Amino acid sequence: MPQFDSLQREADAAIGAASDTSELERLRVAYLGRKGRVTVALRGLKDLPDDQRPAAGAEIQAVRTHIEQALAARGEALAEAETQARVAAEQLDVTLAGRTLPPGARHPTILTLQRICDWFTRFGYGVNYGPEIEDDYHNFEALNIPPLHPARAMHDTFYFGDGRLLRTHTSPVQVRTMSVSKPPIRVIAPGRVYRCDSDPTHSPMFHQVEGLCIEESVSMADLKGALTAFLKAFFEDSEIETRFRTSYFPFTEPSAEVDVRRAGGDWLEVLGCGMVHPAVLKEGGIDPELYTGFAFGMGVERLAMLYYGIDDLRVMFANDLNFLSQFGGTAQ
Amino acid sequence: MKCDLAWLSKWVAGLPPAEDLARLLTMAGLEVDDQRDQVLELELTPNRGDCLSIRGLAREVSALTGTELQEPFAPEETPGTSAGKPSLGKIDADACPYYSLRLIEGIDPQAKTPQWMLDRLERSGIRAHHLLVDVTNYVMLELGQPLHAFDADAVSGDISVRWAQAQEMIRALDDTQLMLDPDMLVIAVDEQPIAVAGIIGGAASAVSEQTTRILLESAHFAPEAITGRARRLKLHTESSRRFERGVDPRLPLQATHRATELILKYAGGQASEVAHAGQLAPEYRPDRIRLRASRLAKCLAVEVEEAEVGRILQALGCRVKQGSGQWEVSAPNWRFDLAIEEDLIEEVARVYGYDRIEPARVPLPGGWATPSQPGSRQLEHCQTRLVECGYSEAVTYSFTEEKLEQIFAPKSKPWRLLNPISEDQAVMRSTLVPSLLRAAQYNLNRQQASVRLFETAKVFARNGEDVRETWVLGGVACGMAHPLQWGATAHPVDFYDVKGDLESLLQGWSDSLEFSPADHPALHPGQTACVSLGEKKIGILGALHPSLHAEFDLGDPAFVFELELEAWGEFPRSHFSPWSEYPTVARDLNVVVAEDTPASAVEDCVRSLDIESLQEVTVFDVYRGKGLEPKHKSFALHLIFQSFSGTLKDGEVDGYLEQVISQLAKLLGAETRQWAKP
Repeated sequence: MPQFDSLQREADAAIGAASDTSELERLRVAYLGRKGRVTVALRGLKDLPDDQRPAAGAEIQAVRTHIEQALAARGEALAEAETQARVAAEQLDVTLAGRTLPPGARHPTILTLQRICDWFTRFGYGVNYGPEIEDDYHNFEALNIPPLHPARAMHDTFYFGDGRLLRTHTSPVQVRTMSVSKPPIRVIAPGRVYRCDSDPTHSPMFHQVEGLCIEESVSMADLKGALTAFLKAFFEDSEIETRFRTSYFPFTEPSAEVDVRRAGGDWLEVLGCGMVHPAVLKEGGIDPELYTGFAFGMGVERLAMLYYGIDDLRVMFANDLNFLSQFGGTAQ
Repeated sequence: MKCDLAWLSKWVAGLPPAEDLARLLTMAGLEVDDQRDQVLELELTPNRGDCLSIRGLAREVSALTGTELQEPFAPEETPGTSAGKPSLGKIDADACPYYSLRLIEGIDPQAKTPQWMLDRLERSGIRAHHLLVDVTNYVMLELGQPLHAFDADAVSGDISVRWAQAQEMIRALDDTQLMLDPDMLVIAVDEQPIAVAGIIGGAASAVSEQTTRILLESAHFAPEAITGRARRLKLHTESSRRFERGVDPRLPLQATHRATELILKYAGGQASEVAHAGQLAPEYRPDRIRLRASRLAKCLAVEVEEAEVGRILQALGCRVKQGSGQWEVSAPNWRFDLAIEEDLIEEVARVYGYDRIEPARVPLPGGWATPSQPGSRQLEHCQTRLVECGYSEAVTYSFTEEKLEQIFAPKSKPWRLLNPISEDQAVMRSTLVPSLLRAAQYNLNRQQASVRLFETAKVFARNGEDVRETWVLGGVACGMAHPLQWGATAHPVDFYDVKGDLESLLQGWSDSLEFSPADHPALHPGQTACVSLGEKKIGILGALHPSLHAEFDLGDPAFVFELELEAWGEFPRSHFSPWSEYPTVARDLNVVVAEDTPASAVEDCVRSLDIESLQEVTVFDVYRGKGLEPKHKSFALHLIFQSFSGTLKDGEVDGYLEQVISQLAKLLGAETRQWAKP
């Protein structure tokens, strides 16, 4: 019927011209709403003669379906366009900096000290700090360094004048541990040590980590095994070479110094070690015939400098943020 | 010790190339620091005084390489041909088991040191003087025996060896005036000391280029009579270095003959008979050491063949008697360091080769671990959490300036070092704060806009006669609170930024964490808080007192804190508790109170009602000024209600608010106005 054709043409034109989804919604109401023209036309069917009613009904249903489809299609296109427009309007400059309170940094010495302790604690070593203000007995005599021993010349000691002194190494923790623990003993002693010496390559305060392992039968082979495995882990280099060469410490016998060498590099001294001297075991109340032990000590600053490639000891104590900030918050 | 390889080669046939020899010696405990131009620079450990000579090194190389030791000159006795045998007074036999003196006269003072000797001295790092001194040095380098020549014309009377008197003075060869202690041994004529035994000669009896008559001294001083004294006199001589470590007690007479031979040969003259006191030692040390094969195997975890053990010990100069599964060993008298079984084990191990001991696998602990000292968890917690809050970790010295210690801890009597390196490192600190301020100052002076530093370390205090060492965490924050960034307002760090950092650090203890006004001699009286966990004070937080800004060269406020780590106690354990799924209702209030009413009083007042559905009370703003009476302020309070049993009705919440408002009025005299409902 002609009036339905024109209705459909009109609707098509209006829908095609709709510029946004709200205009489209208005058109839906105008045509298909309760008072919309198609709805009204459908309602008017009942006034038609019986013979015309089915054909007109079919026709108007077709118009209705057509308009619905046209609305849906136009609606999709408009929604898409609107999303596009919104996205286009919401472009960010992703190169602008993010907002945060940047984390601080760790001190490479303390990070290194913890890396050392972490490795040994995995093998059952307990952490014991020991006092920093020591007495002559624990720092020297109990370690088989009697007064006037030439080895004392290697330890420039700070004194307090009342028999007390600043420990020159972490080794006193050996005797302190033995005097309160029964073997088997595995202990690691990190901390500050002091020598009365200050120049570009010596600091009056630095850090050491001491280790002590006493069991019924530990040997040089166990000592070499533990330290070789540790050094490979510490330098994250399973190919790193180690060598144990004879040395002298009054509190170990035999004694050794350990050097490491990376592919193509020179030998670098990294730590001292040895089998615990029987005199030291006796001082600790342990029978050297029943137990043997090994001990080792390492300079934390030195290991940190080798690990991070730092070439100046003084920066380790200047606390310059330009330096510290290179040792990231949680990075090792 | 410098070792001239050309000289050494006269004593050992077929020396390996310098580089191989250096490696061999280094592995065996005689570390070669440097080797160039056929000279090895050795860094000898204090136990190996026997290697402070060419002959000593030759012995060692011979043992390590298995080659024969050879004597490059025939040891000849030089008979006394002239009269004038010196006369000896009392010699302290314990400190000086053997003492000898010989007069040599008619020496040509013009005689020159032969070039070959000058070369060897130079390559050994010893400066040439003139013939008499050069010969004594040469023989010392060759054999290891320090010698001393006195100008015989400057010495008249019996020579004795005795302990010094307290504060006895002597002018030494190097022209320094030495004050002696009673445990120092001297060579004396009558009452007058003419040398500090084994350490340095006196200036008055020194030989010179005019000397024609000398008294040649060759003695054995016990190491115990020499060690430590040179250091106390701030001296370090070739002679003291050797005597401290121990010189072969059989050497003195040999050395006298060798030096006499060289002097007579190059400067002429006649020697008297040797006057001596005491006995030369036997070849071996008196105590025999037992070495058990089982002990050796237990310590080294390698099977060294018995024949090999014997061979090694003999090559090192020991006399070895093999028994069943053990050896009876007499150490040669030049090895002062061989006293117990373990010493021999080291000797066997180092010659056999430490590198031939196979590293064992690291055993895991068999169900036990030595317990750690408490505290390491607190340390790690502080380090991790403060880094997250933007603080960087510092390491500062444990000693500080006494002045700063007095400012920050006026009541402490700090532990003072007897021999500090400098006055600004003279006392052990009882607080980390001044050191951290110094570190902050260093960074601010280097144009850092924002400085946040922390340190975990021990501090030192007195507990009666005892030392009290305590682990503490210290921190400092100054400059901008955040780095410059777009879209955020920059502000200088303030008290509440730092307080927030501590709250974040102590989050696990938040139930008992409290900040209350406090005083501290170095902190701002209105901006200082005591930090406590319940009743227990754990530290302090505050702004540096403005009067101290100049001391640290600070333009802007600096905030500092210090917490005692051990005071925290155990880490609180997390516990599960259920939460409500019903909706929350939020209401805001303005509470006008007097200026001196703290925020905590308002919050406590609201909480004192014990309203079950009141979940949170937050002060989210503080207003002063227009619309308020002077000395009053208004807190904006955010209250969140939520019930566990159902959705709250408006009426219920209104009822609670009425209670809150009247409670605030009653307890604090506050005037409270409710914000429009959202």
